[in-house]
Amino acid sequence: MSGEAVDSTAMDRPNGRAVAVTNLVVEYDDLRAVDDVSFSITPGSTVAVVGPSGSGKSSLLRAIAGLEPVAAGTVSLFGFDHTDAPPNERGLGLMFQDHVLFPHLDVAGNVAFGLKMQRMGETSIDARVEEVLETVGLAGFGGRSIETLSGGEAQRVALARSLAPSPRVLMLDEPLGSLDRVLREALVGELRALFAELDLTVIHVTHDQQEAFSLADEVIVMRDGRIEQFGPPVEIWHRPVSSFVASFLGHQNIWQTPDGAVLAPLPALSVVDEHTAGAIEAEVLDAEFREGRHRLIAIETHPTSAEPRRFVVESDHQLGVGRRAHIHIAIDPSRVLALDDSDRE
Amino acid sequence: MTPVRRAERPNRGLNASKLTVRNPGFAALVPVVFLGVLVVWPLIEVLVRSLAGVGPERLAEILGRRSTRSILWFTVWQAAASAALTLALGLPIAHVLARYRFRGRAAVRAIAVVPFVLPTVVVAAAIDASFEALSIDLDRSVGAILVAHVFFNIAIVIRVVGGRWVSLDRRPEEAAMVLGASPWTAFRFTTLPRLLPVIGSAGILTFLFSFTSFGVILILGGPTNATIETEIYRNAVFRQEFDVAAVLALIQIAVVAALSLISARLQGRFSRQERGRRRAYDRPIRSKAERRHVITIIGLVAVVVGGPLVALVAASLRTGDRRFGLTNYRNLFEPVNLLPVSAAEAVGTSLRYGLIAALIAVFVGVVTAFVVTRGGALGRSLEVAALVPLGVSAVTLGFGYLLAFTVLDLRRSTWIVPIAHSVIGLPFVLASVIPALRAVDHRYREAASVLGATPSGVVRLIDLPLIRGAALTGGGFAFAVSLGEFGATSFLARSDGAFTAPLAIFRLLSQPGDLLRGRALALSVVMGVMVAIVAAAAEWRRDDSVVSL
Repeated sequence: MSGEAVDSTAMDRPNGRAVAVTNLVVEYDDLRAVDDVSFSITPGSTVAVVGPSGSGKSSLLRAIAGLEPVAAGTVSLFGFDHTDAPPNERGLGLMFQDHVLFPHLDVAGNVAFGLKMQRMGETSIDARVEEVLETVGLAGFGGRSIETLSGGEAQRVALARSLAPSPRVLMLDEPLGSLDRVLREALVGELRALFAELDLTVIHVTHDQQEAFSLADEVIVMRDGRIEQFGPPVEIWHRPVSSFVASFLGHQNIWQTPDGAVLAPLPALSVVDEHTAGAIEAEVLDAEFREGRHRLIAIETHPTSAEPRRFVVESDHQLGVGRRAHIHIAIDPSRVLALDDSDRE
Repeated sequence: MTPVRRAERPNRGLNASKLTVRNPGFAALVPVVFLGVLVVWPLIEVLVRSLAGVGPERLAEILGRRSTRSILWFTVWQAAASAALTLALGLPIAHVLARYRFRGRAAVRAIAVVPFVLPTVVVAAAIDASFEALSIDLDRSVGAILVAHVFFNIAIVIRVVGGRWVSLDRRPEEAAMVLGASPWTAFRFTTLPRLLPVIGSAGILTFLFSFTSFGVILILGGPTNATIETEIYRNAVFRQEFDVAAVLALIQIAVVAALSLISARLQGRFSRQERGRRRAYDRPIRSKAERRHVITIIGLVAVVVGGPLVALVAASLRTGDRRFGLTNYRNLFEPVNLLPVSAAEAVGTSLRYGLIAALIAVFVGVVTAFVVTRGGALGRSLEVAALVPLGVSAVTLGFGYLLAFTVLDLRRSTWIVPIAHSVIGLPFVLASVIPALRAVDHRYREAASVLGATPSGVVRLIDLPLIRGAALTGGGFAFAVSLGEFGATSFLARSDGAFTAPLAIFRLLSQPGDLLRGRALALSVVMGVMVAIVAAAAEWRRDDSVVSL
């Protein structure tokens, strides 16, 4: 069988990667949804793809699944080129946003669908369906019709449906997007346990960076169809490469300086006495209370450059807001990071 | 871990269309051949006969005949009069059904639509019976034709105008009244302008149906009141003057095409209006005067729609002066000299043909729907071609078959009739299946495909189960249409085995004699009840819509 694959070069099978994407381009008319994207995933790991809407993350996922035509580049699965394979020959699992359960089949029929496609025997199918439903916490739901399911149950059935045929890679497209916050957080925990237990290779697309960072071994941040940054969550959080990534993750203190953009993480700033050396005077614009501390938003009173800097700083004391409420802020220079925005300007 | 060679998979990725039909070339063959042979070719034969086959002198001679001109004039004015009368009676009914919420409104709406699904020969029989009950000798007169057309078409006005009316926002009218307008002025300046396109559309549809009316005019009009349709029939079948028939058919096609275009324009205009929040037009009855008005209108529906139906049933049960019984129904099983088979056998033929026609229409319709929803030039032209039989009238189609299929010996063929019926039923299947197929969320197909379903597997496991209900509805309508089909059948059914119930009704009604007439009325009731049941069952799972027209 593998005879045809002999001509595939070493690039197509980069040392046992589950998924390898090279120079991938997906185009809709004149729009480049995915623009020259390359990355690879080790088997058994979970990769989250994050980015604002329109950044191309869903298109990337759909191209890997075979649902979008690829304009250029390749998609390899476990060492073999699958760029031109139709979706039904890729052996992947895909869980859609708002579940997309087949309305004419019951829960068991939905979960069994992929198994029937594999021509599994009737009795094995029944056993496997019950097993997978149990895994997702819906034992005994097989006979239920789709309309009777709650949002969370429907999402679990969708997960069971994509897990049942034991896909080589499980792909999740905003899987929890349609659920409320409480349900979402509960399911994130369950998913993490499940991925570890089943030793799954997972690609997880989401716009919620918190969800991504909780689930993933590695995170891809996308912007305008390109990969802006790729790395473990901790590294991305502490060393964002650009002000785009930094602000997407929720960092607040990003300033333009003559030498380029810089980022000061929240702990780098502190409210100090006005006599402290190097203290910067700022006017408090707004204040909020978060996780036990006061968070102040202040603007530089005597700007050194044309654009006054905007500070977000935490304080243990409640301070007034307005024209007269001035504070002094110290910045720990050792924690300030330079951001590389050169390619974006 | 299946390795895939590039050469095996020439098409990169899959888009919406490729997922549904993997090999569209083969699937497209079904509608292309079906519509090509059974719609396009016969009509081209008609065109060739009329345009190329008739020289300018002969054409001038045909058009110059006094009889031709009086046929054209009568066809136009009776259609215009029918449309005007139908609007005049239908609009007040549509208004009451749209304005007031009252118990039994749904029932009134349903009853008002019954005549529209009845076979035209049954409509003619019902009007005939009504006039006899009233002892008015309007038989073989223009009056009978107009009454029949109003009875038949009032459903169009009530459904098309009423459906639009009740969906209108009533707040503009209320705003005008708060500003000092009288109810009538408020209506005239706020609601009426929004209704005019749909009133125009309903008027044109009524005009078209009356313009191409065949069975009603043949039965009620007698030989003196001839229209284009009946003259195509008489020239082709009795006088063997094919070129005269072809010229008339050409005129008919041109008028129908022009009016259909105008109607489509108007429909496009009203379907675009009014999105977003609004208050429904209907409200409860508020005063005694309103209640009286509603009761008057219900009475009008009872007389216009219920009257002929009751008269038909009553007349079918009459066995003599003031005597009633089931004799006429029992007689359906007895042979008569006038008919090649007994009436009961004709009903059997109709049911058999209806089933065959519905099966063919559903099969061809579903395949066509897949090709049409793929889009592209082929899909669009197939969609138009499939709707042609709705417009050109069954008589023209039957005449086209007569010209095109000369190789077939119609005296022996029993197949051409159900096939023609399936062509006429096809638009009903498409009107039901195409929207259903378009409504299938494409992500179902994607989900199935990712789970390992091949393109044909997606069609079998996702698309077909999801459009099953729509296909059954369309098939039900095709069946009902076939049961009542008279125009094309009158051209094509020449063998005894192809003698259907509508033909039997026509033949029994056109002969004098109370015994034959009694049978005709009984047979009409039987056919009317069957068609109404089938249409009601098909309608069951569906919302009100113009599609059913």
